[in-house]
Order: sequence, then structure tokens, then C-alpha cells
Amino acid sequence: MLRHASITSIYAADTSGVASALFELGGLTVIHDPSGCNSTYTTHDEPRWADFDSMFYVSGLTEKDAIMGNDEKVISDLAYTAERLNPEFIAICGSPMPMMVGTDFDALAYETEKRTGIKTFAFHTNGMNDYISGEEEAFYELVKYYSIEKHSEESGDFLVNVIGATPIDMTDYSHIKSISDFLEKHKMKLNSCLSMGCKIPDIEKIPDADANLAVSYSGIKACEYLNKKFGQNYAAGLPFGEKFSEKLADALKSGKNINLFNRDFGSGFPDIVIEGESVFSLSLSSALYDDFNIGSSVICPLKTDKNFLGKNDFSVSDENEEKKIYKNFKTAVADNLYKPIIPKNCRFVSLPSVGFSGRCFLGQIPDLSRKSDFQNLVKKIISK
Amino acid sequence: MNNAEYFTTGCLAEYGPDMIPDLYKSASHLIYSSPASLAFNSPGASGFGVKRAGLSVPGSVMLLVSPGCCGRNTTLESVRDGYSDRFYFLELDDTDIITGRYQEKIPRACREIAGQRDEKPSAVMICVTCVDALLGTDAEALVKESENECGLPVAACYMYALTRDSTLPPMVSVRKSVYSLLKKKERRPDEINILGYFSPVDRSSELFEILESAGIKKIREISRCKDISEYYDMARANFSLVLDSSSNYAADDMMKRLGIPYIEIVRTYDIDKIDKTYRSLCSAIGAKAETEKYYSSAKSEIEKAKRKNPVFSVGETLNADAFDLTLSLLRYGFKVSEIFGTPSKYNYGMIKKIAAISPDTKVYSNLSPSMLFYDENENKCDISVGKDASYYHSNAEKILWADEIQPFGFAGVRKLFEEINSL
Repeated sequence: MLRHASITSIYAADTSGVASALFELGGLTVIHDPSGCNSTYTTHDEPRWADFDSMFYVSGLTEKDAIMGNDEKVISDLAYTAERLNPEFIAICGSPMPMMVGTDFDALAYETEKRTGIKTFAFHTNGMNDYISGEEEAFYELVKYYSIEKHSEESGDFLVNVIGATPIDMTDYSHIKSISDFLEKHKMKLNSCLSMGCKIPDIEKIPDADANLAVSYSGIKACEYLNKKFGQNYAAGLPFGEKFSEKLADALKSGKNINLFNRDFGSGFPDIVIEGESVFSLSLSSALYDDFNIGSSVICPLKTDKNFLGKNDFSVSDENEEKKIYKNFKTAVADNLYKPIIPKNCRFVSLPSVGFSGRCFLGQIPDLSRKSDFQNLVKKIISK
Repeated sequence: MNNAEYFTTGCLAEYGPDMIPDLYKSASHLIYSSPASLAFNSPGASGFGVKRAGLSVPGSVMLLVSPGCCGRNTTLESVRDGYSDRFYFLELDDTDIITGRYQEKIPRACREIAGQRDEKPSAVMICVTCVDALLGTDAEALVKESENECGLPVAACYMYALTRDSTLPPMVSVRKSVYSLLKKKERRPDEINILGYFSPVDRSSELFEILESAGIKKIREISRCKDISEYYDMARANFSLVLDSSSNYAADDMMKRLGIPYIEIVRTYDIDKIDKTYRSLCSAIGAKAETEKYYSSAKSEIEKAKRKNPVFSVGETLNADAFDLTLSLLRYGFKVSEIFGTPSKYNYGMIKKIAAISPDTKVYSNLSPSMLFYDENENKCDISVGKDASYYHSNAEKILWADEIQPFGFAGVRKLFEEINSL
């Protein structure tokens, strides 16, 4: 479907999602592309890029190789580099060019792995889906490959894995610390965080946990896999506000998969709307209702489960759709780059995210898992 | 591979231009994605790429027709740099690409853009990407149709990263695109164009005085054109002065279409070469070559710097050619321990001369996968020059030398050494 944007930005692409999910894990990640897709990711979607090294490359696809289908070049370059760098794994992800020429990424990965003896993942990105798709595939493949068996004896602690964490949604490590603090407050302990502050051994110990917390939609597929394989229940949500956080903690301890996003705010249509990634926005919306009895709608422009959304929520793919929706609300909580399409009679409350505005407003992104930041935001939302 | 790979200039000189090692050929290996390779991976992220360059035409707007990943950095950079109201996006998905259906929308999109704005844009630049390169899209046909539809001048900019190693890479072809809207005009003997950069040449450069001494009254650069009418007056130029060889293709086109010849004088940091170049230029255009005071002023700053006797590390992301700057520094008597650069047959002459003075100077490639292992303690470096060299040397004094205003001539040399002396 054609999407146009005359004013607003575009979300980080699936290639960025894969790269961000794999950034810290010691693997060699290659975007199969002429160049450009990699730099969009590194300069805008990866706050960690300038601070520490990662084996992140682009294949440098040329016109001739694209037309002639010279896959051997990519495989040889990968094998040459991997044999010298000795990464934990190799990951190949696609961009629009390989998609257009029908590159078989599974075959590329198979050949590379055969040649190098190093586990090689193929990620079926094409630069045209949003980052949630890329992250989702990355997290799923990682747990499938590395989270094979339980290791430790019961520790007595109630262990929780955080699944679906990258700086594109979580901004920085302080947000993960806040989630860890939330777990400890409710007598739980962080077992592993996929994948910030994470290495391969941390993924291997994922099965040792009692439950999983999906902090973005991208973590849900991995959580469902872990649920089937190890019986670990999961809850999707972020610990915003007091009451919603309590519900989230209870859901994690319940042993069941519970959808906490109750989208029924009684009769009437909310006059507040929140736009952003679904688990984040729905958590905020739920927290506003549970703590302050304020109903709100959610606009989700990214991949999500429509079952999460209620009758007053919207799944959109186009700026024109968003403009029409905003006309129905009096307050909009969204990234700063949405401001130009918010109608004049709709009050705008800034809530930036790396996934949309990159690093433009990095210093302004609050940690809503922290009480003070959440309350500040609520004040802005409800003030007239 | 647990060291950053390099060849010395001595080795490279022995190999010759026909045996450039694969280390320096981007098509021969994976390309490392680091802050030092940003200029290759995304020129726009650190200065001018095709998109920002395309908007050099005053009052123009750009329609970017691409998958989402290609357009994202544009919005974010444009928010930072203040030209966000000049970009429009037609985002493609896989069905659009396979069916080509999006191409029908382009002329209509141009019409909507033209109608939507309070002030009509002077032109619409349609930026197409690798997708269209691979599809073989006839962008010129789209341009004609779009012009008919919106009633405005339209030009195509080709952000074809696929062709970056060809004879017509994107940053060369966009230079032709931005001048392609000029129409033939009656030429004036006292007006010239300066081609080469998308940002202005430093007005304190003696180049302007020299040109004025030849009776030239109007010197136009696209970056200094205040409005579209001043841009169109570039077609009145007697000749163009090309300061960067990337603009030769555009200059050739202007010669064919508009009859405007050109003279190429390439930027260098060797004051003797600058002097010779100016003498030749003055002789060609009838100017007075009174450059002694500028020569002396630059030389004086060089001499001051020699008292500290620093060892340099020279990068390629800066307002200079890495090999020219290295050769100049060596000729002044400085030491250069390393260069981050890309040897090619075009700069091999300089590499040989560098090798004759300093055969042990190491040449690294920013794009090499082995740069992951670069250790700044391997080579002595007191001063790093360039964004990439400065990235590698956290402990050295840094001169980025990458401002948008372009240094040129003796003034450029003087300012560089003033900065070195101020450290």
C-alpha cells in the first residue's frame, strides 16, 4: 500500500530492528545492501554506536553484482571476514535491492555456515517493514537457537526475563534498570534482558526464568515460543503508574498469559490519544486509566496484534489517516515529529521515541517506569 | 585478522596504480560501518548527500520516491538542519516495486505539492533510489510528465548507491542535476560561476580578489544564490571555475547545453602549487598575479607550526584530499604517521611522491573490516586532521577541518595552520 508522508517522519525500518537486537551479542551482522540502509541505522537508530564497537557491516552490493546475481561474492566476503574476526554468530539481513532480485537469504546463510562452521542467521528484512518486524524475527531466532534447556537449579527467586528490549524503544540502560527495580520491588529478579546488557550466555539462561515480560510487541513471538517450549508464562507491558504496575507484576506471577490491555473505558469516546509502539502506548493508556481514571485511545502505526486494540484504537499506515484521526481528539501524546499534523485545536504533549525521531530529541525521552517521569507526563496530559 | 590492515606508501608505490590492493576496493570486501566510514555510507549524514545537494536549487522542494529506510535519515537530518519543510516522501512497499504502480503517482504528487504550498516552489526535484536504478526507470520521462502536470520545472536526482563505484557515482550525477534547470541566456563577459561545492567558498580566499582584478564583477556559486532568478543567471557566465573534479561532468554538460566553458583549478594545500596555479589562471584570464602577500602570510603560519614539530594523522573526511594534504605537510617538513584514505589511479602520482619522502607512512582504509581492531597507540599522532582521523585518536589534539564553508587557496592553508598553532 502506498504510504505518503509530506511532513512526518518514517519509523525505523526492519533492518534497524535486526541490527539493534543483535548489536551487543558479539555477532557479525551484515546488511546486504549497496550502502545507506546501514548508515540510517547507525546514525539515527543506534544510540550505542559511537560508544562501543560492534561488528556491523554492509555488503557493498554493486550494480553488476545485483543484476548478475553474484551471491558468491557476499558469501566469500562473509567467510573471509568471519574467519578472521571469529564472531559468536553471523547474521545476514536484507534491504530493498536483494528483495528486488529475489535473493535467497536462507541459502546464503546455509552456504556461509557450511563454509565457516559459524552459526549463520538469515533475517528476511527488506527495508520496507517497520523495525518491530526485524526485532521480532531476531528475538525469535535467538531464543530458538540459544535458549535450549534449563540450566540451574531452582534459586528460590522468582526470575523474569525481559524480552523485546532495544534502544529503539527503551532508549538507554537506565530504562532497563527501572524495570529491574520494578521487578525487585515486587519480589522478582531480572534473569536476562533480551537484548540490552546481554551476551550469548544470558540468552542461554533464558529458560531458567519463571516468566517473561514482553516490553515491546517485538518480544511477543519469542515469548510465545518460550511459553510452548518451557511453559513460561508471559505478560506484555511496561511498569507505568502504580496500579498498572501492580497488575503487571501479578500477571507475571500468575503462571498464565494474561492480556492486561483492557480497552473498555465505559461509554463515550476518549478525548486523549497516544501514538506509538503498541505495548508502550497501551501500557501508558492503561496506566492513565488505572491510576487516574483517564481514558485514552491509541494510534499504532507499527506491527501489532489487533487483539490488543479496542474499538476506540487505531492501526494506521499513512499520514493522511493519522491526520483524520487526530481531528477527533483534544489532546495528542506523540513524538515531536508528529506535531505538524496535530490540528491547532488539539493540544500536543511531547513524548519522543528513538523509533520515530531517532536521536533528535534523545535528551527529552522520559523513563515512564520511574514514578517522577510518569507523574510529570501525566501532569502535562491533564493540564488545561 | 586482529590488527587493522594497512600498506605503507612505499609498498603502494612499488605496486603501482594497476595493482591497488583489494583492501582499498570497496567492492572487494564487507564494508565496516563505523563513524569513520560515514562519509562513504551516507554522505548526507555528515554534510551533503544527494538529497540535500538536490535542494541547492533555491526555492526548490524534493519528492523522495523510495522505501522507508532511504527516506528516514532525511527527515531527521532536515529537522536538525532546518529544511524539513522542503521534503516530501512517496514511500514504497514491495508490491509497489514489483508492479511499478507508484510511477503513475509521481506526476500527481508533484501537482499536489505545487498546489499545497503557500508559496509555489521554484522547482521540484524528484529523488529516485537504487530501486529505480534496478528497475531501469526512465526518470527523464517521469520528469517530463511531472512538469506537464504541475507546471513547474522538474529535475531528477539519482541517489543510486548501487553505482557508487561506477564512472558516474551519485555525488557526481547530482551536480549535473542541480545545474540541469539552467536555460541558455545571453552571456556576460564579467560574470563567472564557481562550481565544485554545495556550500560556499570562504569569501576571505584571495581567489575572489584575483578574479576581481581580471574585471570579473559577478561571481556566482549555487550555494550563495538568494533566489531562483539569481540561480537562472548562472547561465550568463562567461566561464566556470571548477574547484572540485566531481563537478567536471556538470561543467561538461553546461558547456554542451549553454556554451559555458570551464577551467579546473583543484584545491591543494601546497603553497608552491597554489602559486603556480594562480599564475596560470591569471595568465589565462588576464588577471594580475599579485599573490606574494598571501603566500608569505600562509608560509609564516606554517613556520610557526614547525616549531612544535607535531606528527600528523590525516583522514579523508575533511575539506581536503588526504593525499594532497599529506604530501603538502611532508614537503613543509612535518611527519605524517598515517593516512586514512583510498588510493586510486587518480591519486597515485601523489602516493609515489609521498613514498619518496616518507615510505613508512601507513595507509589505512576506513572501510576495511579490520578497522574494528585499529589501536590508536600503534602509531604516533600528535594532531589528527579530519573527522575520521579524529575518531580514531581520542588522545591526540584534533582538527576536524570539516566546516561547511570551504577553504581555498592560500587563505585555506593559512587558516589550517592558524588552527594548528592555536592548539
